[in-house]
Amino acid sequence: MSAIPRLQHHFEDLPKQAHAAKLGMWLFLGSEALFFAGLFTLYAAYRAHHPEIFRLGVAHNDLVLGTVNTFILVTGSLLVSFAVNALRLGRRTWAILLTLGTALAGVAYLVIKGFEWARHMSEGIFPGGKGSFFVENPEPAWAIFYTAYYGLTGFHVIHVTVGVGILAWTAWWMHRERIGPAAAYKLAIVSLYWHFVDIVWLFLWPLFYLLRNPA
Amino acid sequence: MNGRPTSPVTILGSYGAIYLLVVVNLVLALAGISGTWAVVLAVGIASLQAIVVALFSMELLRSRRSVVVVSVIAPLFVVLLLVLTVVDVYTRQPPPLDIPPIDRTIPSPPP
Repeated sequence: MSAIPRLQHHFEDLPKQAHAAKLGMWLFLGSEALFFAGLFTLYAAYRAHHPEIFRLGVAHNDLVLGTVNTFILVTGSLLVSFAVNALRLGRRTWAILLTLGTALAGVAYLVIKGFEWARHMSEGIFPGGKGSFFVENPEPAWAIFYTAYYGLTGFHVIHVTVGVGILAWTAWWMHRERIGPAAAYKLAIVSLYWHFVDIVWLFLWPLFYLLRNPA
Repeated sequence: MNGRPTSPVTILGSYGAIYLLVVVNLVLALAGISGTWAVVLAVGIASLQAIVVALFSMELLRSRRSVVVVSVIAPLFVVLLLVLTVVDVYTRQPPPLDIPPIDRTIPSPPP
């Protein structure tokens, strides 16, 4: 297999093909931003309406686990930035290792998030306001808070899972020499997706873990 | 987009700034800042981090104008949706998200 990407017939040259791919990913990320905007707006509207219960809900979440996950995702982003650099410089082995490191960071995030969800469920907090917690706390805003929590973090988890899969697939393609320095734009496009996932979490972290102090 | 590699100093510098902002956000929360200012500061710091990631890691500084346009317009629409919705929730009377009390009385059967 050649590491030089095939020029599609409708492009004049590889730089134009690479730019089209990059623009396509940015358009996709723009639509993703609008998708998450709806969920963030839901959170903002209900927080404005039920500030005290949202504050108590945030205080109930585990700040340490949320913060550890923040450092893990930021580190994953750092690694994939170096991976793109390594591939551009022709250091394929380093690019593969750094890309796998990013995927591992994603797996670590998913394990911690799973542990956190399991702890919530052991407390009787299930998606959709189901569980014993909501019998003991019948105020409807509790169900709204945890529905927003599971909804937003759930969609984020889906994105992280997809990202881990794409990163692992890209590392495999680099190993098979189907992506080399001449096609480094493919890894750069994958990194764009991962950085977007990182940005979404940088907003989720304060909204669900930090804004906990009483007025 | 294959382009030239980014300087390792730039990568490390931008991520140093992001880690620092994570710590600042955490310290502000632990310091007990609350109310509207807490929300403004926390979301403001997250926005700064997003801008640093977009400019350096996502290479917006080195991108063509067509890419920059997309990267600016999408967040603008996000902000527009958020601001208009929150302003509506804060200002509309009666409050739009109030759940009306449920009438649980059983209507008496007709004689």
